[in-house]
Amino acid sequence: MNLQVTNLSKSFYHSPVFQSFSLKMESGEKIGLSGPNGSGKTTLLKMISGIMSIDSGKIRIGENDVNPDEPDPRKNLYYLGHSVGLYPGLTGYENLTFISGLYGKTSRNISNILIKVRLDSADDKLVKFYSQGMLQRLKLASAIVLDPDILLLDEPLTGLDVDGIKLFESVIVEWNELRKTMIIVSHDSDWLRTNTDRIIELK
Amino acid sequence: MLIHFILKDLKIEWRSKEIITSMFLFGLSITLIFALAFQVAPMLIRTFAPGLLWVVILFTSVLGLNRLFSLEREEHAMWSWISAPVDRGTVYISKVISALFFVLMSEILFIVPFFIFLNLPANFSFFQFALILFLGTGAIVSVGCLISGITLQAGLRDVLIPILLFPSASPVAIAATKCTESLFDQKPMTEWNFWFLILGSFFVIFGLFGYMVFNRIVEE
Repeated sequence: MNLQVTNLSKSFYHSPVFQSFSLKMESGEKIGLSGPNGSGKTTLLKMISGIMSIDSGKIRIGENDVNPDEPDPRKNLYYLGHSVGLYPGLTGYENLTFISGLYGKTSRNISNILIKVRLDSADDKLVKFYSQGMLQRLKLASAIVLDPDILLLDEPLTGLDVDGIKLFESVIVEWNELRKTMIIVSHDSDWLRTNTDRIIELK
Repeated sequence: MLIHFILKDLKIEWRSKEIITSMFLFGLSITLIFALAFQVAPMLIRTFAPGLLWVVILFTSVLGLNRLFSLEREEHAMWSWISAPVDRGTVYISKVISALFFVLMSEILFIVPFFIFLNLPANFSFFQFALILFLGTGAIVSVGCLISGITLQAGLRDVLIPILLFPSASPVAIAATKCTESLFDQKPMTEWNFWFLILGSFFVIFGLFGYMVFNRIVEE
C-alpha cells in the first residue's frame, strides 16, 4: 500500500520541527529513518499513525487521507513505538487479544505467534512483569497478529538480545516478501543500510 | 467495540481491585470525619446530610477517574487505541460506563456506613434514591471523563482534574443535593422534578458532547 506525506508542517511552541516535509513511498518499499535526537523521527511516525496532530499538510494512506475523524485509513497501518503501548495490568495474551479486537482481527492464531516470538511460556504473565526484551518481542507479536500493510517501526531493536534481533530480522524478511511498506527508525546506520531500501536523514 | 473496552477496564480492575477499594476507603474515611465532626449537633446532621453525601461522592469520583485514566497513561497504553481504526468517541463512552460502574459500586459500599455513622433515618423511596444516585453519578462521571481526557497527557493532571471538575460539576452537586434533600424530607417528586431533570440533562448533554469531541482531545 502506498504512503504519501505532502507538505507536512509541525511546530512545538512556535519552534518548527517539520516545514513542508514530503515523502512518497511505493507499496513494498522499506525506508530507514535516521538523525540526531530531537530531529523529529518519532514525531513523524506519530503524525503518520494519527497519534499526534499535524499543523498543516496531508497524509495519505492508499486512497484515503489520515484524519482524526476517519478511523478507517488507520486499519492498514500499525505503529510500533519505542514506548510500550500495552496494558501492564493485562497478560501478554490478553493484550494481543485486545489489540487484535481493535483492528477487527480474530485472535485465533495468537498462541502460534506467541510461540514464534518465544513468549509462549509467559503468555499468562502480566505485562508489568515483562523484561524490556520480552516487551519488545510482545510488540513484535502484536505487529505480526495485525498483519497491516504499512508498518512504522520506532527503534524496534531496542532491548532485544542477539536471538531477538535475528528473530526481528527474519520477520522483516517475511514482511518484505509480502510487500509490506515499512518505515524503520534506528540510530544504527549500518543496520539500516543493510536492511532498508533507502535512508532518509532528518536534521 | 464498546464492550471490548469496558471488559478491558473491568478485567484490569477485577485483578487489582485498586479503584473500588481506594474509593470505598476514601469515602468511608470522609464519612467518619463528618460523623465525628457533627457529633456535637446531631440535629444539624440531618439538614446537612444530602450535601455531605454528594461531597463524598464528588471526592471519591475524582479518585476513581484519576485512577481509571491512569491505566491509559501507564506505559503509554493509550497508543494502542489512539493509532487504531476505532472511533475515539466510543472510548469516551466506555470510560463513562466503566467509571459509572466503579463509582456506583463504591457508593453501594460506603452509603450503608454513611447512614449508620451519621445516624440518618432511611424512611424514603429506595428506588427514587437509587435513581438520583445513578443520574447524579452519571452526570459527574460524564463531565469527569471529558476533563480526564483533556488532561490525559498533561503533566499536572492529578491536580488539574479536581481543579477543573469541581467547578464544572457544581451544578450537578447542587441539583443532586436538592433532589436528595427533598427525598429525605419525603416531599412529592412533583416538587423537585426540576432538579431531577437538570441531573438527567447534564448526563445526556455532557455524554453527547464528550462523544463528539473526544476524537480531537486525546491526540498527543
